Amino acid sequence: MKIQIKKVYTQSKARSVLLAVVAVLLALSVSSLLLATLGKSPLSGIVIFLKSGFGSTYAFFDSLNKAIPLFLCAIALSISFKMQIWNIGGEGQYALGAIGATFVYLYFPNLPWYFLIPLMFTSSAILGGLFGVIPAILKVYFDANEIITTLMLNYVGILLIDYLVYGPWQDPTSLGFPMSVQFGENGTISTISNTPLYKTIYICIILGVLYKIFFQTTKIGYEIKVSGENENVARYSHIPRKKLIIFVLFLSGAICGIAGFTETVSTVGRLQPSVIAGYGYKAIIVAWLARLSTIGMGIFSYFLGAMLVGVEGLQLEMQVPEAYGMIIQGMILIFVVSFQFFEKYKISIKKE
Amino acid sequence: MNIDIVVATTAATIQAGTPILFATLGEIITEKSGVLNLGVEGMMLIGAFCGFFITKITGNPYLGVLGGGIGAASLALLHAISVLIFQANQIVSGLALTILGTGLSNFWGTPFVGEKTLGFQKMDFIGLSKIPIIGDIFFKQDILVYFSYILPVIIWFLLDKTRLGLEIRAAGEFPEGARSSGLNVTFLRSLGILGGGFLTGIGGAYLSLAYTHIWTNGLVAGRGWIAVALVIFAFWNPFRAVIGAYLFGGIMAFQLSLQASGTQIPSSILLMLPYILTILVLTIASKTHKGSWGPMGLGINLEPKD
Repeated sequence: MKIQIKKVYTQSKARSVLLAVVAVLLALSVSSLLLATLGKSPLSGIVIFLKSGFGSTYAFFDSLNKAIPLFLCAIALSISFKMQIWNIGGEGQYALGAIGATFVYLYFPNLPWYFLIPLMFTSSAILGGLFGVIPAILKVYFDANEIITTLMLNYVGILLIDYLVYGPWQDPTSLGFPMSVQFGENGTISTISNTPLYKTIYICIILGVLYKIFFQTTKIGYEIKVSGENENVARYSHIPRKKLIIFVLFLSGAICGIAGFTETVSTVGRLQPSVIAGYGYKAIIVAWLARLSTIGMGIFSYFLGAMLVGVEGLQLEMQVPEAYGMIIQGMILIFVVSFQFFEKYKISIKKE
Repeated sequence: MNIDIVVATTAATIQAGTPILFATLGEIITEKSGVLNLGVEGMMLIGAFCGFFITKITGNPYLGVLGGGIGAASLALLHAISVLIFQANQIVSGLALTILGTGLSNFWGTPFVGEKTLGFQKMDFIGLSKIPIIGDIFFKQDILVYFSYILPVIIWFLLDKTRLGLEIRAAGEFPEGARSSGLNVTFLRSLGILGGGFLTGIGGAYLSLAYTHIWTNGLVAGRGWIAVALVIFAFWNPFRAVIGAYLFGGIMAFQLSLQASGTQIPSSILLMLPYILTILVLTIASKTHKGSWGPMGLGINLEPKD
């Protein structure tokens, strides 16, 4: 008996999807077994997880609401991933977006919504984008590894929110709680009538379409793809790599900033530390699962959103710690990235 | 400034730098074998939890440290399987490890939040602790700190002066060539990953057993990422890693003594300092090392032969 590993040169989309599904199912099974280490039944865990995540219309809309910032962060990160630039700083750029929106609200609280909301949106995008430009400049001019610089800035961004809501932006009537004032109606985006789904989902649809158009039709989108696929080709065709890196990280940061905006003006409605919910990290999983495809990111954002809702159910009904969600995410990522092996290689067993 | 305060802050610098030193040395071993492991943060957390938990059930901190190392190495084993066998992207697999390790340590750790552990206590190093100033700074520490003094020498010796070290470095520099000359690259790299994971885990266990003496979720707080950056700063050299680790120990000790002195600067701003320093240090180091980026095979998987 001999195990043979052969490289496969034809890629099949159906096979990729099947492998991703198998990987996710395996990851969920392994994670559910871990419930036993806390003395809880894995089987009833799975039932509660599925029921609370997928079993009601409320869960469906709740998942979609969580999918909004996830999807935005995912397309943001995938712009940089396409160029093989590893923006792991979604979390910090998102935090800056939340700060940007709050800044505008606090200084112009009385503007009518049609001025205020676009202004908050722009401010979020610019601050998020600038937070992406810092690592870009450090990479281009100093060769500093962007994985580490973007990641370190996540801590800085989150601490900046802490500083603001414990300090200058704290609501004086909050009795010492770390939060800004509640935004008025002119500074928030409401739900679609008769549903619990926030209108910020329109931003996802618009940006999702723009993302697709950007990479399919524009020259600069094409240059980003080429630079990511083959650095040498990019160099010979005189693609301005340095400028492109700065542009890509600005754009990536700006869209993460917009994700921070959507969360601040909808579900949270003010600046407070709980705005930060790890979407910047979770989006890495979404982008990688979807192989950076727009529709795939939409589907997986919903899926990951539903998973988060399912874990909330586990927290409530079985007192499972919140961190359980991270276990599932880590498992999914490691299984998915490992299973891609079977796309590239074929294994056969031969009798000698 | 009072000399006592300087001595106390410097001694605190050594202590705060020690967990980072262990993790940096661990990652140096892993990267020397050609594998990038971005799971340091997650492995440190697992090390911290296992160290705490095993000390709690056995009452023996030495077993705790061992457990911390083994716990982190088990997590590293996942990385080894995914990148060495399944050819997974090393960056993504490492990130997954950090997410998983953070999740696991919080998941298991939540019931114990706030619980104290005896762990390691400071003990005078016989004779040497009597030296004025030097003794107060370096030789009134705990036993893991003493171990960390000789560890860089051990690692330098292992990697640079032994046959196994040479083979590991060959797997990191020229994996194809190493395989052609009959070396088992997969085995050598898994040694690098597991050995590195073990040391990283000790760094994590140091935090719960000798630094905080109390379990809190997320007590690593980015030190793992600082260690990843320090590997570049140290240019994969164990002795330079010492300088880097104590630099960060210094900023952490400084920040703590500033907070204790009742400064007006808000704590969230003070807490930013190590992260900003990491970016600065990395930037300066990258500029000076431009063009020479560690082991040549770093981050690249060795494809299986047909």
